[in-house]
Amino acid sequence: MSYTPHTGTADALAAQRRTLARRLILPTQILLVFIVAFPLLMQVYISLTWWTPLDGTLWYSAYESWNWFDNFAEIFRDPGLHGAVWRTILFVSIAVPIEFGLGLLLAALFYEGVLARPVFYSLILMPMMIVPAVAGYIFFLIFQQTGPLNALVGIVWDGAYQINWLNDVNRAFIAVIVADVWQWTPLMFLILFAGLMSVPHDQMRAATILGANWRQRFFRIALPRIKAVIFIAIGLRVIECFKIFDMLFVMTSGGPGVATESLSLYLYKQTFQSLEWSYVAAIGITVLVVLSVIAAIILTRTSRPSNTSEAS
Amino acid sequence: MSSVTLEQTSKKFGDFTAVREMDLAIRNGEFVAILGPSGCGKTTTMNMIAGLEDVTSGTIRFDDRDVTEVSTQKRGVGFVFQSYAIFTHMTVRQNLAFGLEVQGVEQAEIDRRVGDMAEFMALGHRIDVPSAGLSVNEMQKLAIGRSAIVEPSIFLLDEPLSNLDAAFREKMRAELRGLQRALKQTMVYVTHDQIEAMGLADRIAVMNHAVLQQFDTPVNIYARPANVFVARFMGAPGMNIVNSRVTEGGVLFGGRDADFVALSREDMATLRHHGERDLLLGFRPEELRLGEVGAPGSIAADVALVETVGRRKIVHLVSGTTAFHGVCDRGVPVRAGEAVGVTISPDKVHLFDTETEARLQWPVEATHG
Repeated sequence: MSYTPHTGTADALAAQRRTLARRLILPTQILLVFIVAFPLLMQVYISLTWWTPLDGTLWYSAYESWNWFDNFAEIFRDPGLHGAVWRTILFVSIAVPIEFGLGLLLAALFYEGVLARPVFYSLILMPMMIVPAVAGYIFFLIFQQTGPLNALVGIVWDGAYQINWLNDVNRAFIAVIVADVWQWTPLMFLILFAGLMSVPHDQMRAATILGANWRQRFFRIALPRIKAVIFIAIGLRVIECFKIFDMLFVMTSGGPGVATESLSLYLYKQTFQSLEWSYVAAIGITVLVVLSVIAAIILTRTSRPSNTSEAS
Repeated sequence: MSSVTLEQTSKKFGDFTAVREMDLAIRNGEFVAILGPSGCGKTTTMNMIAGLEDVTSGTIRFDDRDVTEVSTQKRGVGFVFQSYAIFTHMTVRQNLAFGLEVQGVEQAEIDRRVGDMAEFMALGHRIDVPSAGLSVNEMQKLAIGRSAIVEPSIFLLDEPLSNLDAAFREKMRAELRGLQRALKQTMVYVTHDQIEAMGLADRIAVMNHAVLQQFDTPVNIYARPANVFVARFMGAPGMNIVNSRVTEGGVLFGGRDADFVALSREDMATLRHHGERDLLLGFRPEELRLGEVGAPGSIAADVALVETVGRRKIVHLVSGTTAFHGVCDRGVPVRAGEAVGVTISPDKVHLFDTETEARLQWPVEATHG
C-alpha cells in the first residue's frame, strides 16, 4: 500500500492519521473480541436457553430450547444459590475486615520501624506466593483432628484431640476463614504499606514537632492521606474473596453438607454434577453485573478525594 | 521565645561525624542563619535543636532548661520545612488548628487563636480553602503560622526559600524578615545561600565539614573572616587567597619575587616577631584597583579573561603563576591580553596561616558584640 499524503487542510491530514491509527490497533481489537466479547456473548446466548450437554445439541443450536428469562427467574427461586450467596457474603464480610485490620497493623509496625524490615518483609509476603490450592492443602492438614493444631493445643489441654475442625459446621467455617486470612493478609499489608510509604515524611515530622503523638499522627495524617489506597485494597480483596474457590475445594469441598459452600463452589457443582449449563451461565452473568456495579461505585468514590487532596 | 545554647554538641552516624563539638549561643529573639555548603552538618545541627536527631554527646539548652533528652513533641519548637509540609488533605483552618488540637487545647480557645493567626498571616479570606490549592506564598505563611500558633520557644527554618525562583525569593525574604520582627521570635535559619544569610540574619554561623567555622555578624563575617574557608565561601566571587612569603624586604606577592604587597602598620607589627615565613594572603576581588603597569606599589599582572556580569566586570588576572580575580565597574576599560598594575589597599589585606589556614590578624573573639 502506498502512502500518498493529500495536499489538503490540516483537518484532512488529521483525519488521515486517525484512519491509520485505527488500522494499527485493529489486530488488538480483533484479539480482544475473541478474548472478551465472544465468551461473554456466548454466555448471554446460552443463558437464554435450556442447553445442557445431556441433549447432545451443538452449542450454536441451543436456540432450539430457547426459554427467554427462565434461568434468571430461577435465580430468585433457588434456595441452594441463596444459601451459597449468603455464605459467601458472610465469608467476605468476616475475612476481609480481619485481613484489613491485620494488614494495617503490620503496615503500621513496619512503617514505624518496630519490625525490622529486611528480616520480616519476605517472611510476611511468603503466604501470598503460595498457590491457593496448596495453601488449602496445608490448612487441610493443619486442621485434621490428628493434625499439628490439635497437637499444639493438646500440650496445654487434653481435650484438644476431641476437636473436629473440618467436619463441624461452625468450625469448618472458622477454619476456612483462618486459611484465607493467612494467605491474603500479606497482600493487604503490601498495598497499605506502599500507601504509608508514600505519605510525605516531612508531614509526619511536622506533626511530631507540633506535638502529635504516634496515634494522632497515624489517624490524622497517614490514614486520611492513604484513603484512596485503602479503598482499592478493600475493593480488590472483596472482589477476589467473593470468587473464592480453590482453597475451599481442597479443604472442605464445601462441606460439611453445604456449610462452606461458596458461590463459586455452588457454580462448580451445578456445572459438573447437575450439568445445568444454561443456569450456570445466567448466574455467571448476574454475578458479573453485580460485581461490576460494586467496583464502579468503589472506583468513583476513590477517584473523587484523590482529585482534590493529592493535587500538591 | 528562648535563647538556645549548644555546648560541645556532636552527632555521629556510625563512623561519620556530622557535627563536631559545636558551641553555639543564640540569644533571645535573635535571627541566626546557619550557613554552609551541602553536607556540612547544618541541617543535622537544626534537627538536633528540634529533637529530630538524638545528640551523640554534649548538651542543648533552651534558656536554662536542658532539653537534650526531651522528645520532639515536648520540646516546643516551631519548624518550617523546605517543602513547607502543609497537610494538603486539610483546609487552612485545620492546618492551623492541628497543633492546638493535638495538645488538647479547648475548642473555643482554638477557634479564637486560629482566627487571630489567620488574620495576622493575611490568610483570613482563605481559611476554609483546601490547603492543596494555596500559592507558594500562602503556603509559606501557613507553614509559619501553623508553627507560630503553638507559641514555640524557638523557630527553625530549613531552607524555606530554596525552591523558589530568584525574583520571588527576594519578596519572600523581605516578608520573612518582617514576620520575624512581628512575631518577636528566636529564629534559626538553615541555608546554603550566602545572600539569604547576609540579608536576613543578625548573626551567621558558618559551618564546614561538621565544624563551626565562625559565628558572627554578617559585616564581620565579610570583613574579618576567621579562616580561609570563610573568606572563600563568602562573597561572589570569593576572596582571593594567594601564597606569599614574608622576607626582610616585605611581603612577597604570589610566585614572583619582584612585587611586594603593602601592609598596614598593625599587620607589620604582627608579622615582625614571626621572622621569615610563608603565609596566605587574602584580598577581596572587589577591593583591588586596576591601574597602569608599574604604578608605585602595584603588582604586575596580565588580564587573562574578562566576563561582564550586569553592571560589573569579573577580571581574571595572572601574575607569574598566581591566578586571582578582580571585580570592577563595567565602565573600566580593561581587555583580555592587557598588562595591568594591581594595587591593594593595605587595610584590605587579610593574612592567614599556611598550615592552620586561621586568620593571623585581629583575634576573632574580640569582634563579638
